[in-house]
Amino acid sequence: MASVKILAVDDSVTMRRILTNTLKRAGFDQVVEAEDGIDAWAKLQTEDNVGLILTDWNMPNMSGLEFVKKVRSDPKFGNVPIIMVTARGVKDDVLEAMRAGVNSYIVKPFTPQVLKEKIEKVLSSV
Amino acid sequence: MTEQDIQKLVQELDQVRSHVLIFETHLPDIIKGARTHAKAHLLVFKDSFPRLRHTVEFAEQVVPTINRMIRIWPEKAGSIPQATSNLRKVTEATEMATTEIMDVVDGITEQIEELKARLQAQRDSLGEGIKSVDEKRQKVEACLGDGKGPKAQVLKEMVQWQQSLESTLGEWGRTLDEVVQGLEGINDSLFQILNALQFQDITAQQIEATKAILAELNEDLKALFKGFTQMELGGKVEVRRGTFDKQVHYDREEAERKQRMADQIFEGRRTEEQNDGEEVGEIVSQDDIDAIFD
Repeated sequence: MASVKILAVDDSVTMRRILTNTLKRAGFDQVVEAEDGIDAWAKLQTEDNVGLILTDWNMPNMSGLEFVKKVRSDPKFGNVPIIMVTARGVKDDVLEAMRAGVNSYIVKPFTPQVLKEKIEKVLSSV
Repeated sequence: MTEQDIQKLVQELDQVRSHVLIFETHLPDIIKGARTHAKAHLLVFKDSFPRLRHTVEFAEQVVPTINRMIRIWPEKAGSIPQATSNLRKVTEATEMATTEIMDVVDGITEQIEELKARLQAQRDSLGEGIKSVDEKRQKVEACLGDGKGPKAQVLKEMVQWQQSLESTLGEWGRTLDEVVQGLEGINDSLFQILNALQFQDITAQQIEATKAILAELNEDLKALFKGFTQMELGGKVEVRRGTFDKQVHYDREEAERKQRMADQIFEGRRTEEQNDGEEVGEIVSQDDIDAIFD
């Protein structure tokens, strides 16, 4: 499970670094970073075997939600598990993300334990 | 409308007021000579005169204030873009500071990992030493048997020395274990510091949301100014659209509550999927969720 390659998408440099550090500490050594939906989509085309996507919602150029919809509409990546990691946390947001096709939802600020648990749960169910 | 236009308007209103006052003075005579139905209309007019006078007086009071606003507006209009520029600098500064903190934390973590590795190597080597001393003591004890004489005495002392050495090495080993544990504790604390830096992302969103409000205010004021003076005010507020949610704030407890809610929504979907095998996203309705949480 720890050998899975994770694409971490967030426009905040701070958050990308926190995600990468937390993932590496949890044993996930292969982390690819992207700064918005467009960058993430490009990385998805060039990186082999991305096994999980963690994406923020509020980003410039292409939001996390748009990115999720784009990924889900492409048969090549349609089954890649996606976790939304966002500070947005009202019911409508969660439902909208779920309907767009995310597999799990993490509310910021998150704890490393929550991040690890959600990843393990999502990966074990695919 | 320029300042001159407004002055002209004030003068015109003043003239209207004079005419109204003259008319009001002569009105009782006019009413006397008028026919009954015209009299009624004129009475209505008479009632309206105080209101008209009040309107003119009000305009007289308001116009100087508007004039003053128009005079100071160009000076003050630049303060909103300036304020938002300062807010942007706050975001940049906190991002830079958190990056520096993360660099330091990463550096300390790396040093701790190196120290831990070296201490662990020492601990392993110590373990080997303790084992070796123990083996040698057993051999000496085997040779010693129940022998007597000076050689036997020397061997007995040697066994005692070995036991003492074994005990000392054991203590060192325990101390090393404690030091390694302590370093792990420091590492955990550093990791918590790193994790707490999530505040930067959230406060940056709050600042961006504030900038968006100021940008709207700036545009409204510019439009108002243009309406009065036909002049354009400069100074645009740049907002990174789509990068923030105005409702976010850094609150661990609230985040935990929201996390539980999100988990229950997703758990609800999973249960529904297992039961009915329906399509993802079509299972949990807003009504279902409201029923759970309200």
